[in-house]
Amino acid sequence: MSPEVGRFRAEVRGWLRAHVPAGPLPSVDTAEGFARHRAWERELAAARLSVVSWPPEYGGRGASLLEWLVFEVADAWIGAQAYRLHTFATVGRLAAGGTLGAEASMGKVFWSELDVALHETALELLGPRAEQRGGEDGRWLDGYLFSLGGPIYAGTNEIQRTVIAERLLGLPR
Amino acid sequence: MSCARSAEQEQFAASLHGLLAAADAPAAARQWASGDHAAGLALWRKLAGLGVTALAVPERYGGLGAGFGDVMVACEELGHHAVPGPVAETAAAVPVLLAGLADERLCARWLPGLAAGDLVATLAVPPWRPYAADADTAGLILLAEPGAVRLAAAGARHRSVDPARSLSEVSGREALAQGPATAAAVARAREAGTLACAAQLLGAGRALLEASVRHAGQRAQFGRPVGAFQAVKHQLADVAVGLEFARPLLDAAAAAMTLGGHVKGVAAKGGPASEAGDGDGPTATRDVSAAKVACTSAAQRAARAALQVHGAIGYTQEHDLHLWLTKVRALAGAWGSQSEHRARVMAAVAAHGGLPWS
Repeated sequence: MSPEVGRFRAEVRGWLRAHVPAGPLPSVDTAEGFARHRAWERELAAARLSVVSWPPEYGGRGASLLEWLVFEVADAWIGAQAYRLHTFATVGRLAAGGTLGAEASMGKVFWSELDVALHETALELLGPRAEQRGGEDGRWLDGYLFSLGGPIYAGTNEIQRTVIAERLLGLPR
Repeated sequence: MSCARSAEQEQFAASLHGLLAAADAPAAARQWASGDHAAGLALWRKLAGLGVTALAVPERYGGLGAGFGDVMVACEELGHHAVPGPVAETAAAVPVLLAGLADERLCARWLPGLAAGDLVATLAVPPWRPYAADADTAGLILLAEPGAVRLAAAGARHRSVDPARSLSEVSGREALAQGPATAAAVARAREAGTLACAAQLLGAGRALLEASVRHAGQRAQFGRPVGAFQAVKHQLADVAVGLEFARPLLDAAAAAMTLGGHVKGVAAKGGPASEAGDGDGPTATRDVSAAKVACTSAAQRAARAALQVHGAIGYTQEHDLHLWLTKVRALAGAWGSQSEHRARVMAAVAAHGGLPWS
């Protein structure tokens, strides 16, 4: 968990310890219950905790973006690490005199889909700067546009999937 | 750096596959689900005969003191055959916990029985594993918390989506270990259990793909086997790609874990410690989480595709497919959710710098 998410968690926990009513609230069907529930909702809103995924300017904290980034960036790292380790294993096999056949199709599909996903994540992180051509930020757009060719060149990924299915899995032609 | 499996490990996996195929593991799982554990426990003793239960137990307590790579080969094959029972607990987490506590009395009391396959053990490791799996079949139930490891009693029992599995609430009794050293042993046991669970998921995913390929080659529609249709082929090709690229993460995590513990084994490769490169600690937790995320995703993709390719027959309990489908769903959320593991990867990667908010 990033320090930022860690701080948010600590803040929420501390706030809840200090503010959560001791006992269960009365039913909202009663006038007293309705008033107590509304007071609790107002307290939550004052702490900007009732709509944490909304943007800050609307009383939220943009939390969903943070969660989403953890998801996307972690998956990008995991995918890149898997590709790196898989390539080491393949190189090791080739160095030991092995050959490379239809299994290369799996690498092609995995890498090209990862390349697109990784660049999409980068553009999302760049936000309004993502569309810029040229310059430091523009490198990511260049990479993204190039990555779009990945699933097409060197045999489209549809061809590769058919190769995997027929030659590696043995499905009928 | 390569963490690929050795020829000995491939042979070990093939031996386990042969044993489990001959022993009709699905029948044992069905009996286990009906409350009759005899066939499952007999299967467990057969696996012990091949050393499965001894791998994670140090040699001085009757074990093989194997590396995590060997333990994961075994757990993957048990997942491949949907073997019922507390697999990750008995084969990995509990022996790693007891050995890690390094208390002569505790080790001598339980490790020889675990190694011999006479003792089935389970544990709860809150918050990731608040329940003990299959406590009703276990001769040893532990509650492992950072501050203390306790003997535990099973309380309320919950059914699992996997009919051959149950979850029990536990309450801690006699403290077996307390103090700062306990936390390290509990953490290591949690990593071991998590990785074993990932290995089971990878094995189950492979079995689901194999069953799907078999079915798609036999079942005919519109005058052709359904496997001849590109829509089916491409789904199964994506399953194959997911499984293929989850394996190196599992192997690398096992190598990183091995650095922190024993390195010898029945099927250990030449120099596992020198091959890993990264070291135990933050890297091991990162690698274990990466493996769990990838194996879970790959197995879930395999499960969805398998159900779709099998059509209505795969949805029934009469077909064995459900043994794997439900096990994948149960194990996917066990030993930490996907978002918890992604958060751990993120924390470790961010700590090394290079990310926008680090």
